[in-house]
Formats: sequence, C-alpha cells, structure tokens
Amino acid sequence: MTLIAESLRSALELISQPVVMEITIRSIRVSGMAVVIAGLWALPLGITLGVLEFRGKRIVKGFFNGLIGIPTVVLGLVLYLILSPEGPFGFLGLLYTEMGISLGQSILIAPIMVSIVGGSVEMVGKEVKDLILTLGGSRIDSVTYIAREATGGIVLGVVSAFNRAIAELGIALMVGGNVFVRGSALNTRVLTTAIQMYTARGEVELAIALGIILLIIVLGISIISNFLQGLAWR
Amino acid sequence: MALIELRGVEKRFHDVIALNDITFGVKEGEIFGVMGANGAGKTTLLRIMALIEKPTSGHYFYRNEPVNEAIRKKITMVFQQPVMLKGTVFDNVALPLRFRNLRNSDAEERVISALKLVGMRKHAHSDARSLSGGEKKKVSIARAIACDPEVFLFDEPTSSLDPSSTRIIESLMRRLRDMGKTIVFATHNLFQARRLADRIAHLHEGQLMDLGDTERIFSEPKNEMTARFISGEIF
Repeated sequence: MTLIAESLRSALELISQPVVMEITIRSIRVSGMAVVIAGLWALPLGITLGVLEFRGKRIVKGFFNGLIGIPTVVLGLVLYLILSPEGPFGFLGLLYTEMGISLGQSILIAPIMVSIVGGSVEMVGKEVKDLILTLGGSRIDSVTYIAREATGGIVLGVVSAFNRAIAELGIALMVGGNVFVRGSALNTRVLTTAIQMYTARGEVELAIALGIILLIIVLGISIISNFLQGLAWR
Repeated sequence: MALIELRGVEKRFHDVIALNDITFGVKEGEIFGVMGANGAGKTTLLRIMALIEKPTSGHYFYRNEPVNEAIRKKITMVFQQPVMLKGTVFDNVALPLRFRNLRNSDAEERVISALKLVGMRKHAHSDARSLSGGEKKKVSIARAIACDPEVFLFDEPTSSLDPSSTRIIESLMRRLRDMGKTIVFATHNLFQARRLADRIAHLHEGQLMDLGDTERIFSEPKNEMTARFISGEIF
C-alpha cells in the first residue's frame, strides 16, 4: 500500500513535466487524426447502413460488429508486415511514424463508428424517412433529418472510437515503435506505449502519472460526450 | 372520375402477400374508409397510396395519370404512431413548409392557423416530444394540414385516444372534407367507419372483400367475410 501511495504522490508531481505533456499531446493528436481518417468513410457508411434496407444487411452489420472485437496486437502485426520496408506498402514509409499509428487506429475504430452510428440511425431512420417523404421532402432531406435526429448516437460513435484509439497499445507499439529522442520531430511515443515501457523498467511513478492522464482524457471526453448527447436529444 | 385509382395492386414482402389484386378508386372530396381487422393490409395500402411503399405489381393513378414524385406534395399521411422530431410544436408543424420554400411570414401564418384548427395554438412553443399521445396526434394532423395537400391519409386516426380527442379528430376530418379535401382513413373500428366514411372498402388478409357506400356495406354486405366482420365475428 505504501508503494502505491508514494507512487501516486510522485506521479501527481510528474504530471506537469514537459515530457509527460509532450506524450499526452501526441496521443491526442494521433488518435484524433485516426478519428478523422475513420470518420471520413465510417460515418457515411454507418448512416447509409442505418438508412438503407437491402438483402444481406444483417450479414454486413454482423461483419462490422465482429470487427469491433479484433485484437489490436493482431491488427498491429498485420500492419507491421504490410508497412515494413519489405511489405507491399513499405514504400509509403509509414512504419514508425505518427501517421502510421493513426492509420492503424483508424482501421481499428472504423467498425465501432459504423456499428454505433448505423444502429442509432436505424432506430430513428425508418419513421423519420417515412415522415419526411410524406411531408413532401426529398430523399436527401430525409437523410439530413435522420442524421439530425441521430446526432446523439453519432456523437457517441465518434467518442467511443476516440477512446478506443487512445487507449489501445498493440498498434501504437508495433506500428509506432515507441520511438523517443528528446527534441526529435519523429517521436512516436504515446501514452499507452509509454505506460507499458515505464512499468517494464520499474519507473512506476511515471507510468502511474501517464495512466492518470489517460484516465482523465477518456473520462473527461465521456463526460463531455454525455453532455453533448443530452443537448442533441432535445 | 376517381381522384385516386388503384388497379390490380399487389404487394409482397418476401413470400408473404400483403395485398392481392386491389382495385378501387377514391373520389375527390369524399371520406373513404379502409376497414379491416389487424393484419388485413390497411397500413400497407395507405403506405402505397402515400408513395412510401412501392407495389410489387399493379398500377396507381392520380387524376388519371400514373403517379410520379411530384404527386408526393399533393398527398400526405398521418401515421398511427405520431412521429415528433426534435424541437418545438411550431418547428414540427413548420417542417413541411421548408420543403415548399415558403416565405417566413407566410409559413408562420400557415403554421399558426393549422395549430388553431386542431386546438394546439397555446402549445406552439412547447417541446413536441413532451406532449401526450393525443396532443402529438393533433400536432401531426396540424403538420399534415400545413402541407395543404389535396389528399389526407389517416392510419388509425384515433387509436389509443380518449373519447373526447376522438370526437375532436373525427370532426376535424369532416371539416377537412367540407373544405374540399379528400380523406382516406384506415380503421379496424366498425363504429368509426360507419360514423365517418362516405364509402368503404373492406380488406381481409390482403384481399378486397367489399366496396361501396357505407350504408350499403353495413346493411347489405355482398361478401360473407364482410358480413362476419360487421357482425363482430372477425376482429
């Protein structure tokens, strides 16, 4: 207990250190970029999947739901093999870069977006679509109003995806490589890889400090998202 | 001349035949009742007439012309379960006017007059989703009125409403008919069909059983299933 208490006290002192701040900002940037990349195709796909009725829809939904549980280390390994210099996409030079991690995380989180957004759109989709059409609106109008009515679910999808990205370790470690050279612009160390490394080295205080920050980010964003969803449901 | 005419309409959902060879016409300015037990195909028929469902086969004419997307603005449907979107009662009733590019002042006038007609003027700035079932129903009718369509389709217009709200909505439907609108409503309620409709079509398991003036249907049903439905044997 004494070790934990002392580690916690030291950790709180370490939180404001520049190195911790740098890692934190990078984590937010990398996972934020992953959300943007995934959102570009996963949000429209989720909305489309929620709106459209077609044969085989259950299979498509099942496919994306299944991908939610994909182990990050497996995905990280596959991406490592693909992005390594000998791999088919090695020429892109994305291995051990922030963009490489963002790309990998975007693949990880896209199914979460598709499933949550698709589900929430589907809940309101049919009745809102019918209503808009009978009121003289076009099919584009109906999609606009469905998205508006499902804003709460869309926010939830985006936030869940971000939290999943920032909290994952496998891709960040295998694709990012946990590179850190003081002052370098090519660093890839993020919160999760740093926590893993400092714990392995026995520098528990620093690991706890980073863990607290990670928790604050995840919980803070969840609280903000709940607030935004409350506004969206009105 | 029929305003709306369906010829040989069939609707299948995979292997289930929801409507089979339905042919009838609705005259301009009448209240036309589609009567039948639950699962008879009434809602599917109204959804086809509202152009939100396509028939598997058959033809649908409006003023003797095959229907097209432009007809959508001439027909509106009030659903059995009223759908309220986010926002106030005013926002909800003003919604169809956004699709008609009406000037703000004209739109406001039309919304207020529609709300007055259903007795919901004082609720204009209330949150639409917080209303009671009966109030939501009235708002959905006001929203349909704001569309100023030629044809109103009502699916079970007074289901789950108290007698007082039922009376108000039924008198509103008559008033709309008196204003020259054409009303088609689906109901499983025999008494309502008899009270409201000028003519009735009786559906049973997706088939048109009988069609004619309300009094004739109730006094001399031509079909045995219709006779049994009227006598309360089928419900």
